[in-house]
Amino acid sequence: MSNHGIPRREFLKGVTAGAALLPFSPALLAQEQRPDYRGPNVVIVRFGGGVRRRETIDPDHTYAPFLCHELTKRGTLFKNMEIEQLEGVETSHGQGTLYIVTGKYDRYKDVRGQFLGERFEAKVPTVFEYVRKQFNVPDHQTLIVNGEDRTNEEFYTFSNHHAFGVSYRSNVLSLYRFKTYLLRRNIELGKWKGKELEKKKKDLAKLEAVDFRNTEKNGQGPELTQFWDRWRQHYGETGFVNPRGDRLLTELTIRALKELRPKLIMVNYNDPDYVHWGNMTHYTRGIAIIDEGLRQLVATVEADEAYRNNTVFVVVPDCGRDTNPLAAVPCQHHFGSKSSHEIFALVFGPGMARAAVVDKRTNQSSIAKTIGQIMGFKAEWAEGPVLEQTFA
Amino acid sequence: MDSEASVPPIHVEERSSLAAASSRRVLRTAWKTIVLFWKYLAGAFLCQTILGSIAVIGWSYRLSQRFALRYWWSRSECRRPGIRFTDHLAAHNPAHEHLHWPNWFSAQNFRDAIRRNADTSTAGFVWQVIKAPFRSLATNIKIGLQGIFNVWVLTMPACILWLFSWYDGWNNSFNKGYEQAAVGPAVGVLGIMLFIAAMMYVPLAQARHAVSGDWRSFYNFSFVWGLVRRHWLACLLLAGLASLFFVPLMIMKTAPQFFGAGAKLANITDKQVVKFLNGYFFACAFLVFPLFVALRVLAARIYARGVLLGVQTGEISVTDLTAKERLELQRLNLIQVNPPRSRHVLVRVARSTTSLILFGVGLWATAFLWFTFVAQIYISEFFSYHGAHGWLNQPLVQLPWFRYIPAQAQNPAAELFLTVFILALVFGIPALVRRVRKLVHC
Repeated sequence: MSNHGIPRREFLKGVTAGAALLPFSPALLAQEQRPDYRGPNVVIVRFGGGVRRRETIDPDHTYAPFLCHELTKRGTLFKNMEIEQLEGVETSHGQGTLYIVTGKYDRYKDVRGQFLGERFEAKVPTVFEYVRKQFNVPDHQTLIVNGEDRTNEEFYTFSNHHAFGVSYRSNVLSLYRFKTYLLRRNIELGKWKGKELEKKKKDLAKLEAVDFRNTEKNGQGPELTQFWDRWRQHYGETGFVNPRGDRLLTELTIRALKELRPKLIMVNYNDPDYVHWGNMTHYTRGIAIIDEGLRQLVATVEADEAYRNNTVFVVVPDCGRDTNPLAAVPCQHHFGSKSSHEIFALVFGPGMARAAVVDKRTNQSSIAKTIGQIMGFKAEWAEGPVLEQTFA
Repeated sequence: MDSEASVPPIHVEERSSLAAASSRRVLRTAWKTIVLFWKYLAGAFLCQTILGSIAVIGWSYRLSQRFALRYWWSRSECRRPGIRFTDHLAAHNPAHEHLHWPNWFSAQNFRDAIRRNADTSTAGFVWQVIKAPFRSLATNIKIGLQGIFNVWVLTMPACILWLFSWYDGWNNSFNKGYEQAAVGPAVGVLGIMLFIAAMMYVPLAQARHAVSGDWRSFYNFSFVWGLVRRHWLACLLLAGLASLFFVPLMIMKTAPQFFGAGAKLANITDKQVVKFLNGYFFACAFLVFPLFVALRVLAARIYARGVLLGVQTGEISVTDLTAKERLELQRLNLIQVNPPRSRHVLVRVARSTTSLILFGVGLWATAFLWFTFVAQIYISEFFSYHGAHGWLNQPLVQLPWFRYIPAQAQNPAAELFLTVFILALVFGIPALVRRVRKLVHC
């Protein structure tokens, strides 16, 4: 036995196994060589659920006054951003999110072949993967904050690209993750017994099966587990105390900024999408909720010394919405109309041009490369050109 | 043998009279075709407005009454070769209202309607002539109003529940109101159950109203339910047809959502929207109108058959019939009670048990078919929401008003209030005056 308390045979075994695995673990190898990230933090706000320019950036009709009247003065507004009208390029939430994070338009199909399924996998790297491959940034500092109704979007954290993938994935904050954490925790603590335990185990297996790539066999890692521990202490386990809908996303993001200190975080707002089913006020109310969320996020960043003057916000919708004059509710988004391709983007923060309005036609696929330029990585598989006008 | 020699000689006069008869037949057929086309066109046109669709209900009730009378006549000894249904009617009343299909606007038997009687004053005659071109319209609207009132009494609560279930269901999803999660779906389920229960009864009750001409007869619950029980198979068929006929309507209602997203229509004005959709829904009405009438007429036939069988087997007492029904059946000599022959008690028990089971199965099947009807409403609103209009009016059951113009282009409230105003003016005020006069005379 060695003096350090580790049996010599065990020590040698470990060293040999480690040496043998090292060449097969590029992430592990690269981690040692990667520099720490020192650039500006980036908050991507997916002004999601599909919104039209009219109700967001049009001063005469806006339901997002903070965005329209305040934030536009602080940054560069791309009024005529579009989702390219290409064969097979759909205007929906999952697709739009992937166009934003990969910078590439693609014809996405559900990987399980399910009818109306929206489980997509990107073929080219996401901005999270670029950041983590280039810099020494742990997964809990590249985050997606996701809504509870769209679990498919939980898994846009990494691509299938051979040079990137799961080793560089981002992590996720959502109620789905919290529920999974709770079940795991309570089973471990022996909260349930007998039949109830069996049922809870089945529930957990069901939740885990959603992640069919099985990327989180042992949970989300210690930082996220501690994050959920604090969340549970504050809001309890019922789910009836914490904020709901997109307000929940704002709360998760604010807590993440304070506790996890992310370098790159994406907030996938989605409430305006409820307009599908007829209540037009759900749409306008959803926009107002996101606007209020934006105000809170900006205030949180400004109140934090580490983030103040060191954080760039990129606000961009996942897709537009139709302007269908023949329908009682004119703003669906599944028909690929011109209006559903029409979006906008607002980039503001240190180093960004202030009170600038770009009327020129720009593309949603430019967002990834622009984030790359801001953060100092090259998004080589992204298509769109960098939005140069945004840089001061 | 010469073939021509075997044919009896035809006189020139006979030949000319045959030719004249033939040309009369051709003319009559041509006239009937024109009239049919006119009635069809007018019916489709009237389905575009609330007031017009009330008139369509009234017209369909009058037509249903004619079909019921014709059915009874066809089952009577009065039906003999060479005698038409109208001959039978004319024999009792030369100005019978069912000598022809009901008119849309002018009085039935228009020439009689504007004929001056010896005791009519000049002012009275002028008033008679002024009224004649609109008498059928007034009758259609009056019967239609009674009809829609009755149907609303039983079906509107369910429709209102649907509207709120939809509103609250999505409101619940939007606000993530898990504590109230059951409210929206529960209201919806309650509405669906109420509607199905109502629709077990409504079609034959509508038929009773139509055939008897008495709106109160709609509420003879035991009489109508007795018919439903005895003729559950026919009611099942009727529910199936209603659900089947509803499919194209729901497709047509939803279609503008799909073709309106195109770039061509993206920038049209509200006026252009109304013009475009007016054309579209008018075209749709050429299907909606006949489907609506077909269901009313089929229900009337089921009702007429049920009443005849019921009277002749003794299951329906003559006293349960309305005066009009009694009169017509008496005229046709159809009130002959032939009770079924008595069978062995075991056979009777077996028969009643079997029929009870079959009735139970039939009832569930009918309920299921009405459920498919409701499901279509929910599915179509899922694809394209039409506001309160989409929930509160189902064109094959209530008003055949098939015009879904988005409220932002033209708000239907204006038309609704105008309709109420016109109806109050035309029917409400005269009724009030009559009531006051009566009180004064008392």
